[in-house]
Formats: sequence, C-alpha cells, structure tokens
Amino acid sequence: MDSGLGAEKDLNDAAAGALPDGRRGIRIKGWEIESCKRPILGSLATRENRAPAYQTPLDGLRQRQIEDQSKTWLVHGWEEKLGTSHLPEMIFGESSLNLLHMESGIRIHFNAFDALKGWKQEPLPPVEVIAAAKWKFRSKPIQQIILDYDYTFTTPYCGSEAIEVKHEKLNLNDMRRSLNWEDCHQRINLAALSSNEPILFYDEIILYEDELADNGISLLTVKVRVMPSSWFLLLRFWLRVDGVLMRLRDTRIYCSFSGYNGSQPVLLRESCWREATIQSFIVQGLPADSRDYHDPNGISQMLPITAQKIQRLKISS
Amino acid sequence: MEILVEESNVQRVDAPVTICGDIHGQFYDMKELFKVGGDCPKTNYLFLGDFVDRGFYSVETFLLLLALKVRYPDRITLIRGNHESRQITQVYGFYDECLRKYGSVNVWRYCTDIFDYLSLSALIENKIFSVHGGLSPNITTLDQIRTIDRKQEVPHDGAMCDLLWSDPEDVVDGWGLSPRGAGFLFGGNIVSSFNRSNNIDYICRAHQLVMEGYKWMFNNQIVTVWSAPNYCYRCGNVAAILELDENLNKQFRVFDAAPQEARGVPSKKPAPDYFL
Amino acid sequence: MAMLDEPLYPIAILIDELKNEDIQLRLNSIRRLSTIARALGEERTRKELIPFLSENNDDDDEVLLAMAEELGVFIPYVGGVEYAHVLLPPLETLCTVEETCVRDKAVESLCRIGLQMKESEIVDWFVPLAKRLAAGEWFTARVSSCGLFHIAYPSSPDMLKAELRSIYGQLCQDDMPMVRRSAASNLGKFASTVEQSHLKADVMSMFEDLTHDDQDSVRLLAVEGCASLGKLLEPSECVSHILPVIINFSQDKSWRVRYMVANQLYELSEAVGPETTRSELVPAYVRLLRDNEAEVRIAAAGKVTKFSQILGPELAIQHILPCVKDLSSDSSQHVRSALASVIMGMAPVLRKDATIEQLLPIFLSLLKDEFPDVRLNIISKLDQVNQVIGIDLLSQSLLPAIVELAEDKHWRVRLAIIEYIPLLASQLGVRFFDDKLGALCMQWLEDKVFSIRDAAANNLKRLAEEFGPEWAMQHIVPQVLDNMNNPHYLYRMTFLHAISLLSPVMGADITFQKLLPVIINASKDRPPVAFVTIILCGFRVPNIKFNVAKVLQSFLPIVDSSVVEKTIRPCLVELTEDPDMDVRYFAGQALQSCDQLMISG
Repeated sequence: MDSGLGAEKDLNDAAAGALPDGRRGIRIKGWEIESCKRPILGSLATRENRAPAYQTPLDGLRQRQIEDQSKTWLVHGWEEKLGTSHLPEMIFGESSLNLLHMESGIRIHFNAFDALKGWKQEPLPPVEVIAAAKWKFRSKPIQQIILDYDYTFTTPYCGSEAIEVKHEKLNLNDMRRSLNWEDCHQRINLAALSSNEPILFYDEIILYEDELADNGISLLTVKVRVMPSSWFLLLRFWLRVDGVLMRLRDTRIYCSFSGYNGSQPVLLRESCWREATIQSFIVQGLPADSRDYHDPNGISQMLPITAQKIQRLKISS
Repeated sequence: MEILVEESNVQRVDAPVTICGDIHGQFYDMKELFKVGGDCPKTNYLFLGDFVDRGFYSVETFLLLLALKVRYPDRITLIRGNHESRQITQVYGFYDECLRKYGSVNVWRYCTDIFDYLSLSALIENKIFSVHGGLSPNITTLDQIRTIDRKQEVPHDGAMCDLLWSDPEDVVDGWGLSPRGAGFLFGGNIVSSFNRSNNIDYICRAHQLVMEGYKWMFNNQIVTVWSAPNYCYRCGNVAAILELDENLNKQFRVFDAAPQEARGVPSKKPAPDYFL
Repeated sequence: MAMLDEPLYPIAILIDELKNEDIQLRLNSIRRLSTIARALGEERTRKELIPFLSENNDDDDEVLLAMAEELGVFIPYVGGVEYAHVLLPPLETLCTVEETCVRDKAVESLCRIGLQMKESEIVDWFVPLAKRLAAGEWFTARVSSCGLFHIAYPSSPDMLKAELRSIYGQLCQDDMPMVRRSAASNLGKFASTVEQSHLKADVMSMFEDLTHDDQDSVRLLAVEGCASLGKLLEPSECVSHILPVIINFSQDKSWRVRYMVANQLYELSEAVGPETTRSELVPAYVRLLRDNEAEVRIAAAGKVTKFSQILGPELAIQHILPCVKDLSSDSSQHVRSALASVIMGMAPVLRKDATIEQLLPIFLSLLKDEFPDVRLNIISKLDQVNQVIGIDLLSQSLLPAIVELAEDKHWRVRLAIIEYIPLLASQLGVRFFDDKLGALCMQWLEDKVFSIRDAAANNLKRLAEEFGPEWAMQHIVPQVLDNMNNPHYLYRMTFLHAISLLSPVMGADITFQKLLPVIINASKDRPPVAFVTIILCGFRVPNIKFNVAKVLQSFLPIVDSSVVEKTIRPCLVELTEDPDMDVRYFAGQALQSCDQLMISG
C-alpha cells in the first residue's frame, strides 16, 4: 500500500495533503502533483485468454465491453497516430506525471506519447552495434530491406504543457502559442535541494523502455520529489548501445514555494544533453565493458556535454 | 553434460509436450508455471531458452531446469537462447548474480560451459519447429541446422547466431536488416517457404515480449510464446505456455505472476531518494 | 564444587579464545561461559572472570548480546543468591551500549537476577544501579533504567519509593524522545508495583504527561499502555482518568496514534466495562471506522465482531452495522479484506432475523468483491453463518455466489473453494450436495490449471471419506473410470491420480473389481476399441504408463496377494520392457515393492 507519501506529521507541518479518491499524489501550496503507473501497452485485443474457465454468455458480453474500452491501450492505435510500426518494446502508455498549478490552470505533464512524437521529429541516423562491423562482410540474402529508423528512440522531449480553463483542456502543443519559457542565467539551487528536508511525495515513473534486442538499453523515466519548500523533477532519457555509445538527456525542473505568494510561481528548467562513444572512453583508458555502465548516475559526469539550455517560466494568473 | 552432447541440433521431441518461452531468472514465476502446467515429470516440457538474466533468480532457475534435465532427460528438453552466452550474461545480470551470491564466478563459469552444449532447436513430431529466435538466410532446410558445430560461444554472425537472435517482422516481405546493422528480420513469405520445404505446420519461438503471453503472426505460421509474467517485475504483462496433447491439439495456458506471498521476499518499492 | 565434565585443557583454550581476534571464536567461548565458570570455581569466577567481562565490553554487538544473555543465568556459578550482586556491574555497562538488542537483553537479565535477590540486597545494590542509570549522561543508560523500576520499587523503603517515583516522573519528561518512549512502554509494568494511593496521584500524572507528548511515537506507546493501566484502576477511576484520554487519542492528528487506538479499543472496552463502552466508547469507535486513513479503518474493521459482542444486538445494529455497510464498499481493498475476515462472526451476535435482513446482502457483495482475498475471507468462515440462519437459507442465498466463485477466473480462488468443499459438504449433507456441487467437483478434474485438477482429485477422496464408499461408488467412481478415455494425457493423468487416491477409501473389493481393470488397461495407454477408429494416433504416452506403475504400487497394500501375483506383477513386468526409460524405472520400483511384500507377507 505504498502511496509515495511521506510521514503524516511532515505533511501536516507543510499544510500538504494526499489527493482524494485513492489517486496517487499530493496537494501542496497551490499545486496538485499526481503520478499514474500502469502496465505496458498490449499488442492485440486478446483479453479473452484471461476469461474465466467456464464462461457464461453474460461474462462473454462483459468481457467484450472491457475489450472495447481497452482499445485505447493498444499499441496499434499508437502506431497509426505516430505513423510508424516500430515502437519501444515496453511502452508504459497510460503512465504519466502531472503537475497542475490550480489557480492558473497551467499543467506540466509527462507521457510516453508526446515523448515518442518528439522522437519521430528528430530523425537521428541509426547507430551501428558492435557486431555490425562483422556483418558488413556477411553474404547478404539476395533481396534485403535495410531498416533505418532510429531504434534508440532518442527524444528531445522535455515535457508537455496545457492550460486547463474551468475543466476545459487546451492542449498547447496543438496550438501555435505555447507557454513563455524564457532563457535565463539563474541556475537551479542545488544546495537547497541537497538539504535534508523531508520528502513529502516521491515517485519514479517509467515512460518507455527498450532492450535494443539485447544490445543495450533505452529508457525514459521521470522522477519527482516534493519537499516542504519546493518540488523538483528529473526527466531522463538514458541510452547505452553496448560497446558503442552512451547518451544522456536530462531535463530538470525546479519550483520553489518561497518568494512568491503561491499564485505566481517561477519554474526553472535546465536541459543538459551528454554523449560519448565507448571508443573515446577507451582512448582515455576507461573500461569498455557495459557491465560498468549500468547506472547513469555514476557516469553522467564522465560524459561530455553536447547541449545545454536554461529557461524560466513565470506563472501569473 | 553427456546427455546434452548426445542431443541433435534439431532435437527430436515427442508429443505430448508443453512449450515454454523466456523465463529470465523469474524463478517464482517459473514455479507458478509448473503449478499451472503440471510438475515435471508428470507433464513433458520444452523450454525455448533465455532461462537467465534480468530477473533476480537466474541461478535457481537454470539449476532447477538442469536438475530436471539430468533426472528426466526424456521428459524435458532445453534449447539455447541468446542469453545463454558468456558475453550477454556478463552484461545482463547472471554474472553479477553469481558473483553476489557465491562471491566467485565459478558457478557462472560452469553454467556457461553447459550453455555451449544446449541444443539449438527442436522438432516436435516432425511437424512443429521450435527455436529461440527465428530463421536465418543461411538456412533453408533442417539438415543445414544439423551440420552446425554448436559447441561454442554464440557467435556474432552466421546461422547459429540468427537462430538465436532473429525476429519475425510485419513490414518486411523477405529478409530485412535491423537498423542496428546486425540482426535479421524475416517476413511472412520466408516463413511460408521454410515451412513448406521442411513440411512443417508452424514455427514456435520465443525471444520477444508479448503483453498477452503469445502472439500468432503471418496467418498462423509462426507463434511467439512468452513465459515471464510481469516481466522485469514491472511490465504488467501475462505469460503463456503452449500445451500440445498427443494429437498435437493446441491449448495456450495464460498465467499471471506469482502472488507476493509466494515469493518469500518483499516487493521492491522505490525508496524516496534525494536525486539531483 | 560442580563436577568437571570436560577435560581441563579446553577450558584454557576457551579462556584464551575470549580474547581471540576471530569473532566466531569469541562468540563460541562466550556461549560456553558457564563451562569456564565451573572450571574456575565460584571464587575465581567472582574475582577474575566477572571483572574481566566487565572490562571487556568493547566487543562486537553479537558477542555482547551473548554475554548479556549468559550473565542472566549466572547466579549458580558465582556462589548463589548472596553473591548475585557481583553480576550487576558488567550488566550495568551493557545497559549503556549503543545497540538496542544488547541493552534490552541486559535489562532483561538484570530483572531476572533482581527477582531472585533478597530485599536488602536490592536496596543495597539494585536500586543504586537503577538510579545511576537513570541519571546517566548518555541517553542509552536512561532508556535502560526505565525497565528496572518495577524490580527496584517493591523492595524499597518508603523514602526511597518516593524518590524512585519522582525519578520516573523525570524520565517521562526527558529531553530525548527515546527515553520518553522507554518510560511510556514500561509505565504499565512500573504502575503495577505502585500502591493504589500513589497510583492516582503520581502515576496518572506521568501518564498525563506522556499522552500530551509532542512526538507521536511517544503518544503511540502511551496508548498501548492504556489498557494495562486501566486494568489496575477501579472501573470508576478508569472511566474518569483513562477514558477521556482514549477519546482524545481517537482524534489524534497522527494516524499512527489513531491506528493504535483502533487496535487497543477492544481491550480498553474490557477495562471500562460494558456499560461505559456502550455509552462512551461507541462514538469513538464509529469515528475510527470512518477514519480518513485506510490503515486506521483496517485496524478498526478487524474488530467489528468483538465490539459487537460487547454491545449486544440492538446497539450493534444501530451503530456498527451502518458503518459495516459502508466499509463493505470501501475504496481500499485491504479494508474490505479486514472486514471480510471477521464479519461472519457478527451473525451470532445479530441473531437470525437481522443476519438475514442486514448481513446477508453484505456477505453477498463481499463474495463478489473484485479482490480475491476478500472473497476468500468470506468463504472460509461460512460455517458461522450456517449455525445462525440454518442450512436451507444459507444454501438458497449464498450457494449461487459460491458456485460462481467456483468458476472464478483466478485459479487461486477456485483452489480455495475446492479446499472448502469437504467442509461445505459436511454442513450441507448428501442431499443438497448432490444437486448443486457434485457436478462442479467433476468439472474441476478437467480444469485448465494443473493445481486445480490436483486439488480436485484430493477433493474426491475427501468426499468419499465424508459420504462413504457406497455413495462414492454411485456418484464418483463411474464418472472417473469413464474419463480414462479422455483424449488429453494431462486429464487422463488426473483421473489416474484420483483413482489411486480413492482406492484406500473404497477398499480391497472395489479396487480389485472396478479400479484395477481400468488401470491395467491404461498401462497400454490405448483407447478402447470403439475409439481407435476415431482417434488417429491412439494413446501411447509414457507419462501415463509410468504413472500406472506408481498407481499399481499404491494398490499393493490394498489388494490380496493373489491379485498382486496374478494381475499386478505381470503388468509391471511388461512395463519394465517398455522403450521409455522412465516407464522402466518406475515399473522396476513397483516390482521391488511387490518382492518386498512377498517376503514380508
């Protein structure tokens, strides 16, 4: 019965509370922060496999209805909408993280679908795995199609935005206008984040994951923690192509509760892209073995920065 | 090991038999599999490889299967998956698990030595071809598989590699090369002609996660069976096994992950961490 | 002096090993401290071993823990009770270490020793020790001291008693929450030694302090002490002193405290008596049943039956039942599960009419709960309802739901129902059972899931035991035997298994006349002639054959030796020539049993 919430006393002290109706998340200082974790998308409407051993006609009917409802969960719909049949093996398509500023209706959210839209729009050339060198000398079948999509699912995604006006949702990504993120020099206050404040709400949500057919890992996750003085999140795309390449794209968003009266918060967003080839590691005398590179935390500092952006969003009612 | 050496690259298997896909070290879920499918030797089994890596109990999983194989060689058949390899197990968990549990890599070394002897495929009643990954452009007949010298680490290319690594793919008609630059994809007509020329009904393979536990492709000419429920303890998928009776009638048995209390260990929940 | 039952040189080694670098050796040596002491003799133990131990307290926690435990039973080795005090110094030091287990064990050992000491010795040695610890600079000493007062207090003269009470009062207000926690959890024990006159004044004010503590962990322990404290007081005093505190706690801002109240409320209601419970505690309990926090509702829901028993039918219907109705559709499955595990017990309290009108609908909705644990909890306690409303009504209203569960898509739910069937059968009796459940029992034998088929076979055996061989001969055996023609080997295997389980119940004659021929036929695993044309390949499954060998082996003690020789042995001999090695192996095993039977018979 893990709710992700911290100790009740700490919640009380910070005037924060759980979300109603068993939803997972927290309400604090004018924000409603909610996470949602669901299984991966399925490929076929074969729910009948799980039907009871002795099915009555009525059960069958009920089952059919459930199937219809779950259509939206299916990968096929995504394939159509994204215009590709190549999607990550594990898409946690119904999982999400939502941060709603209640007064302004501004909602920052994170989901696999928008992230994959980003992937489609940044068509990187495929990365060749180690074995590819040998394969070049292999006799080829007479007719062969070479697929060339970016199987690493690398995405420039740094979150989605929407404004909710009286329960109507305007999806800003569909409109010309978007929230006014402006470049700035103010960095996220890491010192404040390193203090031992109690964590009132914590969650980690996987958006998608692919094993690259056992050639490494491609993983998009978002972690959030809420403290009495601020909330902080890290959206991380992590790619390791065994023996070839490591790529890390982090987006951090920080919102301090102090310094504003609750209705005009300022969000800081830092995006940092890092990348290195294993070859460059070998040159520096670092190990080439993938076993040493399971945890992106341990190596992020070793990867050179390829792009960086710091932005600020002032929310006003 | 002597038992395994004797087996052919295309191991003959009699019906009735129950076919199982990837297990990936999910030992408690494999025990669940036996609860649903029946204990060995009461039920005959064919496991399509990928016993190890990713889950927490690769050692227990492989050793139980191996013990059953030694005691009842005619009741259980194990064939090799792409994870039954020295190189892959060093990256994806089995090596680290052995090191953690035994303080040395001897167990890993012995197990990987045994991997080299595992058969590459199975043929059930001359009608159903079973393999971990799929087909290879280098192979059109079963006899070509029989001539492979399998007692080695899984190579990076060639027929043996393809059998353990390749995938069926909807969008190609014929052979496709993965964008990774290595790894074949094969389309429906490749499967049709293979089945026709070898006089088999369909191919049964594993290797790819399917949310529903099994998945037919190309007009029921090939089926993927996946037997690791709630894969990696977080995907929420169901698993399946394929029961063939003595007349080769098919029944898929779908099952869920073992309930928490049957695991003996508390579930892993994310501990709040002061990430930066 | 005690006889030496071990040679001397190991003693030297043991003593040496007390100082060894290897922790395992030190531990080993500490565990055999009594052996060392016996070898040294009482005097040297007092003068050398104990001082040595007192100084050697800088060791691994594991060693210290073992030492603390050993010293608790060391009185005989230092020369009896009059020398018991020499054991106090090493234990005193252990009371101050950092590791909680070690301290707890040292306190336990001190109490054990203190209980045996004479009054004067207590005053001379034990009380000063308790006072020293209570004044300890480091909080660990003060934490430990709290657990010693109930030993120190009774033997002390009045002056000293007053002092001890005041010291305990200070501990209750210590700066460190750990000390206050220890004071809170030991308050009950201490209070039980304090005279009635002081109880009301001193102890109750200490209790008061703890209940207002700003740490919820301290208040939590204060709640835990309520019941034991309440039992020390006159009921009237309990009502005036404890009750308001409890009612207060039931609205505490920390859910952990409320949770503890929910857990303890029943014990408290015993302390304050039924009258007050009805008038005062019910509102508090109802509040807990409707608490915001699921954990609290879980704790409260688990007590509905016990509470209803105190309240009696009218109040239970009036106050508890509406809450129970709400809880049965609570958003937390764990709350519903906790409710389901006790709710059946309410039936005898509410009596027949109210059960039928009010409880049955709740049972039914819980029986259909989407969460399997909830359904299971209801099924496993049906008998309690049976006793109240009678079998006819029970079967009319609940059986359809049970039948539905018997076909539940989760196999573990089906399994639970099967395991409950023999009990249900004994309650329903033959007549009712045949109508409704007989068919299900046969159906389970052909379930998709092996574990269900296995349980179904066991179930048949238990039914045969319940209703007797004649009934089984009519209702079970023919169907089972017929099904040996099932085209799927896994199902034939189930029926084989069922036959082997039934044979001891059915006895020698039926086994010989009815079961054995079918088994012998199965040894060839061929379909009966009529089927051959239909089923193309015919049966030839080794798994069936080696299980036949096992079944025949199980028949050996049941049938006549002539049957063994004439029928069973030839069949087994044939199987030992089977091409399949597992068939040969199990047939060989069975033949060996035949041979042994012949020799012994």
